[in-house]
Amino acid sequence: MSPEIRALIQGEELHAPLDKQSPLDVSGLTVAYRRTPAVWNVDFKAVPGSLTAILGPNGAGKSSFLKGALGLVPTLEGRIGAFGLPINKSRRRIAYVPQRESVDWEFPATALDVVTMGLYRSIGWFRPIRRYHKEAALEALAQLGMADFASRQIGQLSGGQQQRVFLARALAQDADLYLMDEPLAGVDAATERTIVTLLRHLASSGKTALVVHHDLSTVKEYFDQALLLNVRRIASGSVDEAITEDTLQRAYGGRLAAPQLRAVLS
Amino acid sequence: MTFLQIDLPAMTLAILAGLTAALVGNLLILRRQALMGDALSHMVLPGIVGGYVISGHPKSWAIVGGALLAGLLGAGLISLIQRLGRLDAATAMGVVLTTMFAAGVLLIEVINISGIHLDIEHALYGSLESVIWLYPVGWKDIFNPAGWADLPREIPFIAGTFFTLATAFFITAKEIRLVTFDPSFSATLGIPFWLTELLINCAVAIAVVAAFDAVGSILVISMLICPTATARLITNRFNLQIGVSLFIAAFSALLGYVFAVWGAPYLGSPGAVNAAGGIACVAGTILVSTSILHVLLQKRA
Repeated sequence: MSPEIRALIQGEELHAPLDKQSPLDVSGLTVAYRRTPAVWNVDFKAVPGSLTAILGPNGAGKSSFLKGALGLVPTLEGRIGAFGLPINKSRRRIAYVPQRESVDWEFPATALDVVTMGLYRSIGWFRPIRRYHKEAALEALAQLGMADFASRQIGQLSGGQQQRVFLARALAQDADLYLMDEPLAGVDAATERTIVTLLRHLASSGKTALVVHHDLSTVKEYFDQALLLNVRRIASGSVDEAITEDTLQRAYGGRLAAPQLRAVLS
Repeated sequence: MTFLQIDLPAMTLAILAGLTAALVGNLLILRRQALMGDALSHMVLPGIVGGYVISGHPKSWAIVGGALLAGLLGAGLISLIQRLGRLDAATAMGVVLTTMFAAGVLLIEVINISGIHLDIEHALYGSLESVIWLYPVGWKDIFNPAGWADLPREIPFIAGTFFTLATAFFITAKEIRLVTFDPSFSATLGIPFWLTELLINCAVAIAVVAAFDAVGSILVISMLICPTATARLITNRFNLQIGVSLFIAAFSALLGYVFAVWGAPYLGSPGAVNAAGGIACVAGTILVSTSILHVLLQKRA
């Protein structure tokens, strides 16, 4: 008899109690679209003040893991907590950076408009945006080197600049946990450097970030923790523990060639 | 003097209907859900007929309630069919809007057999031509409050709807910008998807029902989409987008009415043509000519 079934029969809690320290404590997260599971029974605990890369092949459920944790997609199972509270009670402390492709960049809004959205919770619902809110948003844009583009319509920005606007919006939220979906995908080298600097700045001020990442060759340079997924959790922990030849082969199903592996592990 | 008694109330009604539809049309166009306006304006028909059967009167609040109910039921059915039938949104809308509209047409036939007469043409093309304000004899009578009680009831009704929706829009402009631009992000801030969908569908259904009296349930689509889409080509600013769409809606209503009533005879028509049709044609023409101009200007740049 599996421990889960025994727990159910005996009326015990299926999941371990929430970790009071961890910025994100996920237990048994399962997400399925129709009948195909995208994320299967994944446990994960974020280390406070860490930068964690979420890695895995295409279709491994990296985005679904983030969306499931945030309650953006229906979950079949799972207990999600943040900072020792159910996720719904700690939304104020969490900032989410969706994939850039998830919104319509033709939308009539300026870069500053979008960054100001990160302040909506602190402004309060149905309350007007004041000048000092706009100044705070401008400051967040400036931190990503985008102050000169504040009044530009977002459709007229390059891909990298759009990604910086999204990060500035998250920064404006002044959260403690940042969940980012592929912020480094398809951006120029300068944007990549800016974003990595921002991530390090966040971690050094005690914030935690979980970042869906696709480039195995930069993982060890940019991150200190890793979660390796392929629908199920393959490995997690410090990058050196989580990323080994064995775990990579299991996650990527032997699709990595020997030179690629050497580049990652060196 | 027939202008004050026939044309002035009809034009006022047409402009208010245009303003109401264009305002909520922004919610649809900005979310790239223009088809939802099409769907809602068809799906309300069985509710309108049901309201008519209950009240026995062609202009009553039961009709508005019935239409709102049918609109929300339709929107619910669309998401249900999407989920259960594993279909995309456009297909689910197509299925629900045609079925509900057909049910409305059948309902009309059934109640006409039972002796009550409902004019389907009015439901489809509107009744701008039948709006009459008998009170004013001269221009100064317009401003006499004593005559306002005699106003055709469509006008205070749609004026009330427009000002209610406009006030709600003004108060929630910041939130509207958020949920129309990035619903995932707004969900992480605590505004769930279903609430966004429900409120937007309600606003569109209310506007559609209020405006259908004037321009009819089919032509209301043109007022939902054309002025808003034209404004998208003209401006990249959110506030201007709303303002320009309202201006174009009022302008199309005015110009379309003038064209249908006084312009049509010059084009060889024996008399005035359907005003709602004229308005929709003008709105469509403005959209097409703005698109062409937009392309030409972009080529030059």
